[in-house]
Amino acid sequence: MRPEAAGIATTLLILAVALVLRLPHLGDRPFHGDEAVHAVKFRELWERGRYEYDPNEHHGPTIYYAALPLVAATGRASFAETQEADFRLAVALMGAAMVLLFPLLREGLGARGAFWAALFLTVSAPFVFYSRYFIQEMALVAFTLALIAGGWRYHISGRIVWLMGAAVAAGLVLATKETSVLTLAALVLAWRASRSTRSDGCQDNPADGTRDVALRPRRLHLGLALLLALSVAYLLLSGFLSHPLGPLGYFETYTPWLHRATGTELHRHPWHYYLSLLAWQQPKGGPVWTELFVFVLATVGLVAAFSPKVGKRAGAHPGFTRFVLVYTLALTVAYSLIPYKTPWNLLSFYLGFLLLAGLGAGILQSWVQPGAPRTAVTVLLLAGVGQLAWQSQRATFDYRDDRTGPYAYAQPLRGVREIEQRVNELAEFSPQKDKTVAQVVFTDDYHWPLPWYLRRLRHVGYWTGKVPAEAEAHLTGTPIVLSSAEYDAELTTRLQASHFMIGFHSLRPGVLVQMWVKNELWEPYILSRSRPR
Amino acid sequence: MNRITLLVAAAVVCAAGAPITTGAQGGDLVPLPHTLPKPAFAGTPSEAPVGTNVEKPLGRPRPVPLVPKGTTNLALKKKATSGRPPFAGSLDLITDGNKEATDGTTVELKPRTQWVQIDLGAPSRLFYILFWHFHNEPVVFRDVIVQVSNDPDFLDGVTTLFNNDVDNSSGLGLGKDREYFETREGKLVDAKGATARYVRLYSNGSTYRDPLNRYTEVEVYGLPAR
Repeated sequence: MRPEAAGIATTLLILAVALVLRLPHLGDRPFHGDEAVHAVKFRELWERGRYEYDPNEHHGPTIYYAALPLVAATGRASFAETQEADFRLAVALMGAAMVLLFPLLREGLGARGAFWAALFLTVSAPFVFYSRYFIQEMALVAFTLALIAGGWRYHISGRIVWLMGAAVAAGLVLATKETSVLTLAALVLAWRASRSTRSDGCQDNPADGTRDVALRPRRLHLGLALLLALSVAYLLLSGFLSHPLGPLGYFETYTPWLHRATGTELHRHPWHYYLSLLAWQQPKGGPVWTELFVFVLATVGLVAAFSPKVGKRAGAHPGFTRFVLVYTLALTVAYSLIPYKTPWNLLSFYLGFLLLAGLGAGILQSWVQPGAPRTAVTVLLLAGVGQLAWQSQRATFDYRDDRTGPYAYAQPLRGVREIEQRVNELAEFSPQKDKTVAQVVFTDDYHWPLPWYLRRLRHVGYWTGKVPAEAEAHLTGTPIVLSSAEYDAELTTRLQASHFMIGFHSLRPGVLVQMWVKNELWEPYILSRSRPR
Repeated sequence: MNRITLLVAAAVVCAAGAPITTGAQGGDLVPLPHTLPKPAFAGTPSEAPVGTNVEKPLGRPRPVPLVPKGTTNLALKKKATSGRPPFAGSLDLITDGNKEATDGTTVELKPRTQWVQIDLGAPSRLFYILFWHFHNEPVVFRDVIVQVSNDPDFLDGVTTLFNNDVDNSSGLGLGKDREYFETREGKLVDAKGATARYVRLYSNGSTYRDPLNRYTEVEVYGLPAR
């Protein structure tokens, strides 16, 4: 088999593995609150064809537009009929498609390095887990990798088509999430640092004779790329011109996000949170979760950044190696210093570690003699891949909504599906059907993902901070009332005569929801289901 | 009971804000003459078990209600029966006066809805029914239903005093009472002065780690039949 054909076959094989790990049972885990927020935001795009950028919430629209054709392809009659998996499919495909970008990095990481990096990304638990999450992070990382790949191809070939591809990716990065400024800053810093490799005597041009033009990229090229990137970002953020001034909000967005970055809310974590999460964690009563294998190999990969000879032997480009190193370290430091931390944010910098780990694996293989020693190294590397894959499967399935799972964060529990089922059955039984009124009374705004799970009802009211006055909300006349457990005593006084309190359901670990159903609805409903004694 | 004791008892009752129930109105009233077993666990249960509609523990001792003078535990040493033979233990344990959470004080009944019944010997005026299923741990018993009747088969003249079967899973009708945690205080049900000879208690398993039904003690407070 020719090397090109073998390369294509290998890439397709890894892609198949990536799909196998990401696609099955996409709807098993209940929607996280953030996923539900995005699904509800998607609704406007789905039903009215409009998108409006909100500087305070929701981030950018790329995952909505990515999900749009896939949700449409399901043939769902309405938003109420959509399921979690419909939305997650778009992200899962993006997460898997990242594998296709690695062949573009062959001259940067070396052929072996690119292969191993692709394999590590394919099986790494956080990448698998968050490929099955309808939030922006995986899209952000996928577009970042596309930007790096396009930029790199332009760097070695000088062909403007690659730069334009990178520009489109940059526009998508911008339009995906506001934290893209950190990504772009790290990329610029890394690019500047990689340019300095010439001064330390490294050869920038790889052995295949491709040109090294990015050290002095043409201003015209850069200008066009910048224009294209901004145009792509503008088009998306304006909802394809449905809100032409919407993107201006992007400049306002950093006020609320900077406020959150100080971490005064629930998500404040110490600086080492992400690294601890990846390197070694054993939640109480749970197993050990570790990506140490990746970190060890990434440390080997670091050698290439400081010893060009080592890197060249593995077919890696010193400039690219240094680029990846600086990108990884800069972004790791930046995310670690921000007090506001959610685990999926680690993907942006962990991508760099995976690239370095791939490089490290390539170096290890090139260090040893062909034959038995190299086979032994390969077997060891494959064993490490096996450990990562096994771990990602456990995290994705066995621990998908378990508090001892590594990446399930404030994950709603299966009780939320019980709420959904009961509410839907009650509405179906009620003469009002989907016009049955429900009211949610919660201590704070963290009642998500309830709005998603109540999507079949047309009239749902939300109250936060206190139980509303009777004149305000008329709870005694409301067929279904869902409330925080903290309001039990107050609502018992109010609703004991008019409603049945039918039980507590777990929304998230430590967060209970109680359901009150009006006598006139509950009695005939439950008696219609009771078997005669 | 001398005057000082009565004054102290009345002061305690007033401080606790105990209600005087309708069924106990009239005549000389005294605090319910009951005793509580030793606690088997420390603190109060924190989080409601999912799927239950358990009420939040009071967080302080339950107020002691007033009952007519002469009220006594009519169930003590009386005959107890059950719908099906016990899984383990004797039905006599239900009325033997031992309500401690120790080995050998609890009778175990098979899973699903089961009942125990106490024959008081004669129709009597009842004020409170106090019972402990299993207070070794803060578990929640499901479908707790308390009925009284003068018909030993509970076909006629049945009065339901307590029912927390919110989904009618035991098939005896819907109940709006809330589930509760088992503690040393047991469950105190107002009998509202009903006159009955038989007391029947249903349950349908619990949140404990096995599906069995358990009874440690049942006390029926009322005036002895003349």
